[in-house]
Amino acid sequence: MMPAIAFFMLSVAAVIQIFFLLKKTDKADPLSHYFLLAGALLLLATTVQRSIQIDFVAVTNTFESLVFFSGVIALLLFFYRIQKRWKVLQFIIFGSTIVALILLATASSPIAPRDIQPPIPALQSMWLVLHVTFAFIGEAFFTLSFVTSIYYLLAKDGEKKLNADRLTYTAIAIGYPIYTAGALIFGAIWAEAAWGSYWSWDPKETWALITWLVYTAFLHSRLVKSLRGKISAILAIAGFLFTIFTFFGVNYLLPGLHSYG
Amino acid sequence: MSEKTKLNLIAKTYKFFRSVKLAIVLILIISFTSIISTFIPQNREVLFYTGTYSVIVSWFILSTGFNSFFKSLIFIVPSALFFVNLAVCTIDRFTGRLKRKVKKRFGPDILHAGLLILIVGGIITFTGRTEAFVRMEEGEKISLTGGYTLTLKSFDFFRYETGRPKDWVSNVMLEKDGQIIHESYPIEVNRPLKAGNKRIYQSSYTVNNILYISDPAEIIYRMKPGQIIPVGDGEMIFRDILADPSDQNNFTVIFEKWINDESKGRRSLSVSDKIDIYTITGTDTRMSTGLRIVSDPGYYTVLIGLILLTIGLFLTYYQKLRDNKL
Repeated sequence: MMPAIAFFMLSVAAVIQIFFLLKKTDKADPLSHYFLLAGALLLLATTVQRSIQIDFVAVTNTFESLVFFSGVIALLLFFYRIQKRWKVLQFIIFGSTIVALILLATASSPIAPRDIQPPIPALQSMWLVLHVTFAFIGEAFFTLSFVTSIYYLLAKDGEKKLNADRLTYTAIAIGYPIYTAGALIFGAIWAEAAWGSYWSWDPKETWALITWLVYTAFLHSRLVKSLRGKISAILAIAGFLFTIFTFFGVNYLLPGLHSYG
Repeated sequence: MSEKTKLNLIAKTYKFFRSVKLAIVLILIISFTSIISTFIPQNREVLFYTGTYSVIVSWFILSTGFNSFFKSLIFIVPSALFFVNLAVCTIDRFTGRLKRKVKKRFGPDILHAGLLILIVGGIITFTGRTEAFVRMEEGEKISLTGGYTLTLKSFDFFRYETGRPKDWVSNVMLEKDGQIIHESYPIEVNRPLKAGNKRIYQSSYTVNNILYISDPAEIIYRMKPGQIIPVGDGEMIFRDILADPSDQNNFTVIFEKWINDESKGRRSLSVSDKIDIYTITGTDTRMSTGLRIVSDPGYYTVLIGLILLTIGLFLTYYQKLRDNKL
C-alpha cells in the first residue's frame, strides 16, 4: 500500500513540475518537493516495515531494492531543491522524478515479486547491506547526473549549459566514492566472506566494474580540457545506462552469482 | 644508442605513460571489450563455440581469446598498460605535489596507490590461489596441509517456518600438530574459519542415503552410494535408495551388477533381501557438509588495497569539499 501512495505522491510532484515548466517562469515551484519528500519517506518507511518483518535490512530482492533506490532518489531531489534555486534545476528535478516513477512502476511489475521472504544464508551479512545501500545511494546521484547531462546536450543557453555541467560533475563527484565503496569494495569483502573469493568475474561484477570504469573515465575527462563538455556528458549518460543494465539487464539476460537481486 | 638518445627515449616513454588521455583511452578499451565478453559464455569447450556461432564469429571468439576473456591478451595487455599508466601518473602527481608549493592533497595519490596494490593482489591471487572441496559427515576427520586436522563434530541445517533455508552450520574442531586450536567453531556462510594460510568456507550440503547390510556372522556394515560388494562372478554397486513419497517406510534399494567392467543391469531390493552372503538389514539418511578450503596468498594484499582505496576515495571527497570544489 505505501509504495502505491508514494507512487501517487511522486506523480503529483511530476504534474506540478510540468505545470511550472510549461509556464516558463523563473520562479521555482513551491510545492512539488514536499510531495517528493512525502514519497521518499513512505518508500523508506516501506523498507523499515519490511525489515522488521524479515528481521533483516530489507534490500535482499529486486522489489525491495527498487523501493529503496526510488526512495533515495526522491529524498535526494528534495535536498537539491531546498539547497539550490537554479532555473535548470526545475527540468533536472522533473527528469529525475520521472526516473524514480519508472523505477517504482517496475517495482509493481511481475519482474519484481513482492513476497516478503527472509534472507537465505548467503545474504545474511552486514557487508551485503552496506554493499547494496551504498551502491544505490551512489546510483541515486548518478540518476541526477544522467538528467543533467541530457539537459546539457539539449540546452543552447551558455549559462544553463554551464550550470548543468557543474551539476553533473558535483553529482558524480559525490556519488562516485559512495558507489565505489558500495558496489565494489563492500561487495568484494562480502564475496570473500561468503564464497572465498573477492572477485569472480561474474557478469554482474563485470558490469559493475564497467560502470565504475565509465564514471572513472568521466572524472578524468574533467582534467583534459578537450574532453570536457560534450564527451563528459556522453560518458555520464553511458554510465547511468550501464548502471541500469547492471541492475536489470544482467539479472535477466546474463545468469551468474547475483541471480537473486 | 647514445646516452642522450637513451634519455630522450626514457623521457618520451615517461611522458607517454603519464598521460590522462591514455588512461581514459585504456579505460574505454577495457570497458568495451569487457562488455563484449559478458555476452559470450566463458570457458566452454571449443565445440560449444563452433556449434553455437557461425564460422566467422566462432573463429573470431577463439582466435581473440574472448572465450576465456579475463585470461586473454585482449584483456591482459590493456590492463598491464593501464597499470603502468596508473603507476607513472601516481608517481608523477605525488612527486609534483611535493616539489610545488601547492595544497597538500594526497587523497587521489592514496586512491591510486590502493588501486595499484589491489591489482598486484589480484595478480598474486590469480597465480597462487588454490581451492579444494571436501564433503564430510559428522564424526569424520580430515588432514590439511600445515599439520592441521579438521573434525566435523556436527552439521545443522536450519529452516525458516516457510521451509526456506535459514542457515547451514558445520561445527568443527581444528587441531594443529595434535594441539586443539578451536574446540568447536561454527563455520557458517559468511563466517569462514581461518586455519594458517587457509580459510574454510561453508559451501553446500547433501543428504546421503545409507544402507546397512549384515554378513552371516551378523556383523553390520554401513554403505554409502557408490560402494561395492564383491559377489561370486563380479560385483554389486550400491546406487541409491528410492523412498515411496507417500510412505517413507516403504523403499527400494537399487544395486547395479558389474561383471568384467560391463554393467549387467540394475536390481531393486528390499529389507531382508540377500546379496550373495549379505542381507539388507535397514536404511538411514545422513547429511554431509560441503566445505571449500581456500588458500589465497593475495588475500591481505587485496585487503590492504581495498582499505587504501576507501581511504583515498573519501579523503579526496573531503578535500574537494573543503576546497569548495563540490
